[in-house]
Amino acid sequence: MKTASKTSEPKKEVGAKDAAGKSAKPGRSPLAASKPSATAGGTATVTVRRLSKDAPSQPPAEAPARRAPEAVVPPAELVKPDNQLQLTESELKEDIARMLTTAIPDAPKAAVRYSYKEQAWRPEAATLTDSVMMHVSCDGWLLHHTADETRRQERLRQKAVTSAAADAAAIAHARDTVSQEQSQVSTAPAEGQPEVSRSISRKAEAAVGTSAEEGADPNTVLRNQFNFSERGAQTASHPPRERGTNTEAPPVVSVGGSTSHWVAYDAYLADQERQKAAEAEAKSKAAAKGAGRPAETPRDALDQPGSADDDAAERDGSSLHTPAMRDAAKVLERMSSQVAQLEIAMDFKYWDDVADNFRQDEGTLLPLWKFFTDRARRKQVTALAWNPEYSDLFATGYGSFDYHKQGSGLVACFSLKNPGHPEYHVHTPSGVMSLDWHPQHTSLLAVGCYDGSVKVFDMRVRHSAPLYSSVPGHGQHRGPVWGVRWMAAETAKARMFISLAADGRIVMWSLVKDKLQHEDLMQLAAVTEAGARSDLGRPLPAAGVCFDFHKTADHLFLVGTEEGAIHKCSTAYSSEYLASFQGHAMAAYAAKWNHKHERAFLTASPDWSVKLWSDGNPQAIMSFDLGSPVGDVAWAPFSSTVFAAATEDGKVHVYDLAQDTSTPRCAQLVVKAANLTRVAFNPKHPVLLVGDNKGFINSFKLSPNLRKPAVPPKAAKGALFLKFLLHGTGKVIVTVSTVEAFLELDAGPAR
Amino acid sequence: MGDIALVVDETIKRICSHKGVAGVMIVNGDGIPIKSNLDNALTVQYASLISLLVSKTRSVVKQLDKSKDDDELQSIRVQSKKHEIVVVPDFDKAHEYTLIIVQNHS
Repeated sequence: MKTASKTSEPKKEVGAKDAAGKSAKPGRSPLAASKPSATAGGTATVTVRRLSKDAPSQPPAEAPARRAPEAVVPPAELVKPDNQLQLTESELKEDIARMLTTAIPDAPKAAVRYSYKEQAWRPEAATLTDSVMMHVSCDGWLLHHTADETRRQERLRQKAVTSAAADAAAIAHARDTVSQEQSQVSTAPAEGQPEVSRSISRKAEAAVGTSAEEGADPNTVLRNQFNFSERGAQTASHPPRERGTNTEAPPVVSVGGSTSHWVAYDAYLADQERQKAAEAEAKSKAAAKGAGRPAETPRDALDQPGSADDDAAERDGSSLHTPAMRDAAKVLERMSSQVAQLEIAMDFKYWDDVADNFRQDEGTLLPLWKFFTDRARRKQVTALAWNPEYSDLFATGYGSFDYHKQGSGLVACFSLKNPGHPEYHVHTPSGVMSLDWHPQHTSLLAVGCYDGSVKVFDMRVRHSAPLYSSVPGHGQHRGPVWGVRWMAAETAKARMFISLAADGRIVMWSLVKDKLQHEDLMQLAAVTEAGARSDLGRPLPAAGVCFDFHKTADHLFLVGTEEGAIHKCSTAYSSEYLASFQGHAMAAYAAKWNHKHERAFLTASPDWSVKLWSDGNPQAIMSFDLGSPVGDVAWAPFSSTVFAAATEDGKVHVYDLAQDTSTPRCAQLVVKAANLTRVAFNPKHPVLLVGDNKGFINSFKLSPNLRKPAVPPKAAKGALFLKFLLHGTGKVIVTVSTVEAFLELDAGPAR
Repeated sequence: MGDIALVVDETIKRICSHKGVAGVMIVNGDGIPIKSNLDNALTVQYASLISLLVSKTRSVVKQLDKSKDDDELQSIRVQSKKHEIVVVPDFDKAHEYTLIIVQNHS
């Protein structure tokens, strides 16, 4: 029996064995070969119901032998229980016939049943089925291999894929036959047909096998007799369905932000400050209510510029117009103007004339920004000064040189960063003639006007009134104030400046409390060429037109007069000049000490000449003929030998005395149809400012050749040929090695 | 107040009249434009985009600052092929305004 036994259930197996045991029990015959045990090899024990008093030894020994000849057979064991009936040999050999029937021993042979129809008891026929007790019924599943059914099954199995329904029908049919045969077997147990039972088993097995195969095929629809239920018999079961609804999503705004330690820190700080400010305001409000608000004088503004305005702004609370806004707008304006004039800004910073590499003797002036303000229309630039602290800030004074056309004046401060609009401007009733920045308090401007008054302005404050103003009668000049200069005295507590006017007086003013105190320093007297005073017995007043303080010796200053004489004076000596220099035919409009050399100074005059003087020498050392009335001359801050002169024909002449004293390094027409009135070098950048009589200020960048710093002179073997001419006098030709040596030679020891 | 207001207004007018300036706008701390030269849609776009840029740049500046003193963002200048945008952010601690100008290259 090598058929697979895996599909059988243990229950069936036991039952089959029992049935086999039952059916194959005539007279101690050995067990009919029953179905094999579940495990191949016959290791399982065969349990047999003891229906007879047979020796138990026989069946176990024989059954395995019949089953599988090659199977491993456990050795049979003789077990004799103690309460076994002891029989003699003869009794043991006695044959006892037993007959098994299906008749139920307890069933009544003659049953009587009450028939309601006849209302009487009637005997009932004992049917076959009544007396049959089915002990067990199970489907076997073995088929004989030669049986017809087996063959049919094989064929059907091969046709399994194609005709599923036919197979299903065949299975059903097979099952019916099997059950019929089984019932036959049970009714005819005496036949003991192991073959039939075997075939039945095999058939059933085949059927089950095919059914198992059928089950594997997913396409066939199995109509399971046992588990089958028609759709109609089922209640409707609705599978659960998911149904969701979506509301309309609320409008979502994504907000982004980043935070870090400093954000939190800043927030805390700001909160603290706000609290403090609130407390302070509460206190100040209480104090102000009690004491009454004091008048804010301009002098307070001197110490705390702009704070009054700021407070007012904050209290009035216009949210847009705050000092911060003003500053931001200012910055923005500068940036915007830089963008608008980007090339100029780039040139200012980076451009250097390449041609200067090829020509050693010449330089050029590259035009940069132009400064103009509408308020300066029809005014002439009368004063130019760079701020000592901020190298991009300069102040201009507007007025008029013309005696007949005098109007109001204007002081404007420009920054290079914002050429379109002055940072500060203030009107004065009469034309501004001169101005000067304070060297330490760099927001103070001293201004001298045409009507003789002097004023002091603070640039940081937007008042239109000057901080200080001289009052007529209290030392005020009677002529236009041609020069003002702050005294750079560090020891003095009061701030002092000196002014020079056409009435010949040099006055020292000091800022005391809220007024100007004047102190006459000296009175300029006309000096004839002979050096004697006039016949009148008291000196003729000379009109001073310009003055300049010595760079190192504070008390020395030069005064240029309208007659053309230049006097060296000292603040210590009020009555006399220390020295006089004659040479110019017309007024000396400008006199400037050299920054580095102690004794050299330049003067400019409308007699077309610029003269270089040395302190000890009453005559000019050098004279430069510029071909046109000279408005102004200025030394360059970076070199002791470079200077620039501006003439009325609109040209700027730049000379470098270390290289060539006869020809300018640059003589360039900068403005058409305007007279140049003022010239100023920027102390830090290579920028030259030129003001003209139309109210425009042009700025220029010096090309590299013009910017060469002075090299300390070495004694040169060769000689520079110098020519100087004095106007109207004889010429003396002197050869010297250098300008320095010449000056030494001529002047003798310095005073 | 009057003085500062005058100055501020004048300055802004002058900026508008500079060569190449396409627009000037003032945006508050919430990104809402307060004053502007340009049309509304463009202004709002600028305001929102530039606020983002400003906050990012401010965080960059602060985080790069290793020293104890606070380093603060003062201005941003964005140069592109056609325009130049200059932003002065957050210049007033009390009200956080941002000034923006858009300028074409000359």
